[in-house]
Amino acid sequence: MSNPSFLERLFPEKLRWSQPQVLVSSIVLLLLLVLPLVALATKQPFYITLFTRVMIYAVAACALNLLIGYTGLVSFGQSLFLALGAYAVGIPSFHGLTSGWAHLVFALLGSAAVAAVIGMVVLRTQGMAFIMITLAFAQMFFYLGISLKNYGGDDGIRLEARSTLFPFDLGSNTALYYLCLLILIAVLFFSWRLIHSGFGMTLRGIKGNERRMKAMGFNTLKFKLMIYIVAAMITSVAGFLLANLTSYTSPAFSAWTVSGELIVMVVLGGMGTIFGPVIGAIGFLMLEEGLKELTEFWGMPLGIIIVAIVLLAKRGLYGSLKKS
Amino acid sequence: MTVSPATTSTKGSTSPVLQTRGLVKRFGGLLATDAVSIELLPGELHALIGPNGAGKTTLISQLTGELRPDQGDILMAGHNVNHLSVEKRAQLGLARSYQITQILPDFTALENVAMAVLAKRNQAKASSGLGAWKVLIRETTIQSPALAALKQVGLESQADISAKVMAHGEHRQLELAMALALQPKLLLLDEPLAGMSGAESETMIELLLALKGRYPILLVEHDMNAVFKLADRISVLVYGKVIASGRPDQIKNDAEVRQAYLGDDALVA
Repeated sequence: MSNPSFLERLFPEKLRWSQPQVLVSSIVLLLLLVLPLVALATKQPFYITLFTRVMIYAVAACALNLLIGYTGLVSFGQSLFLALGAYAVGIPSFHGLTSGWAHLVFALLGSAAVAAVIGMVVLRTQGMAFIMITLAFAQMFFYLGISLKNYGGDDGIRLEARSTLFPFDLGSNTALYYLCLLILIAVLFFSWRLIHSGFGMTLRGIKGNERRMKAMGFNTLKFKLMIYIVAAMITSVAGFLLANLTSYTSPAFSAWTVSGELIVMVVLGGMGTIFGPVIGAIGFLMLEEGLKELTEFWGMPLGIIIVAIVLLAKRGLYGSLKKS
Repeated sequence: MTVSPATTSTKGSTSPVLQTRGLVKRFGGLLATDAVSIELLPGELHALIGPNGAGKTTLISQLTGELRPDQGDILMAGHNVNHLSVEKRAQLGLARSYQITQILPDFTALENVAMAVLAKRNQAKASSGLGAWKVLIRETTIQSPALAALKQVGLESQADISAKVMAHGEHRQLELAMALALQPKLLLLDEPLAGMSGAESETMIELLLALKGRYPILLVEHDMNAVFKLADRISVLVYGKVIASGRPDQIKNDAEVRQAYLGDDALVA
């Protein structure tokens, strides 16, 4: 390395290839980088859209991990923000506004505003109450979506074309794939810096012992609200990407099962690890896809396998790579 | 008087840094705090003693804001803080340790204290928080005061040890380091010697002797040996009521205290 001091300043932790987590995350990122080339060469473009979906869920799972894994907030309502991001594409497109940058601005501002209001309510509760009230808000949004008859109600909105996001040509699946990879890497790097920063350390302190943090003078509600908004904004970007991938926006994006799947991904990969949610998203969606090929009744084996993995690797697939 | 109470010696300002007036707290039919009026003067080490269930921890919880009193007032440096939250009171300079140590288990000792330094910096809004990008523990403005506080309590060699694996006595020292890193105006120490071995107790008493005079300290403690060694003033709490308050030698010879709390046995010399 020609300039170790630069790398050391860039990365908040010292990394060695001998650490299994460093090795695994590097290999996975490298594979994601070359996957479209291989898929196109072998004439299997299906894998490009499949892994675009994986990365979109990985982005949402990373955001949820900031809440569950680093702040101790088990939100069971993240699908709300995913759907919000999708509707930020769907509704303007329906009215003829196809600019992706505008969609992104709507998604980010809309989710921040909604999260600020909801956060002020839900963050005053703890434990089981928090889980239930976040779920309740997501369900409210779900039924709001269904009641929007102008926008397809239950059926949602079919996009005529993907967002235009200069300089990216989202009409191409490969371009959309690399945009998702770029955003995933940005979210991972941001999370990594964040958890070592003053703000992130404050969140981890709150997870470890909120009472102590208060007694030192931290306004813990303020910090929890800030990360709740940040996570909502990241999730809304995932929603923006999902609407573009599927060319479709529907209330189903805010179904409680989606929130549940995101939690499973975080737990499966490893709560409180930066890269864990990515592994969780890959593991969950691959399993689902593979079992769907084998049987119509894929739900049950999927459940059994996930329970087995979580029991055997208590800190998740990725989390267990590190010695405690 | 504009002198900060933390730096004032006993000779300086004598207006109390912390005061309660007629504090009352009921739990159903139980009167846990019964018209308690106590005060903590600058530079003073005021010990609060009393048998189990006398309401010491209830009183401390009201002082820190975790419990709200039913009646009466709590004043910090003359200002009523009755309606201020735990974090607001902490920001005014009230630092505490808990009867059951409260540390941040996932962090190293240094990181624990770094959080206290960060808390202090957040209050001095000018350079608040260091944002969401800078690596906290690498900032010298965080690291050096944190190390200094660890050194003060004798834990500098344990800086990079995970707090989870430290011994009980070390947790107590760590909690004290966190309190000191907050540069508090007063310290509330809730049984800092509880559960400590003899050697650990000796270390802690030495430490408290070193801190005495530099910070006003309200000390709740069961260890009478330590209390009589450390305290400038002792208040005795029985069934939620202060039955006596005075210099250690006065308390030692107070008939009511001996009767109600210490039994008929002679006190430690």
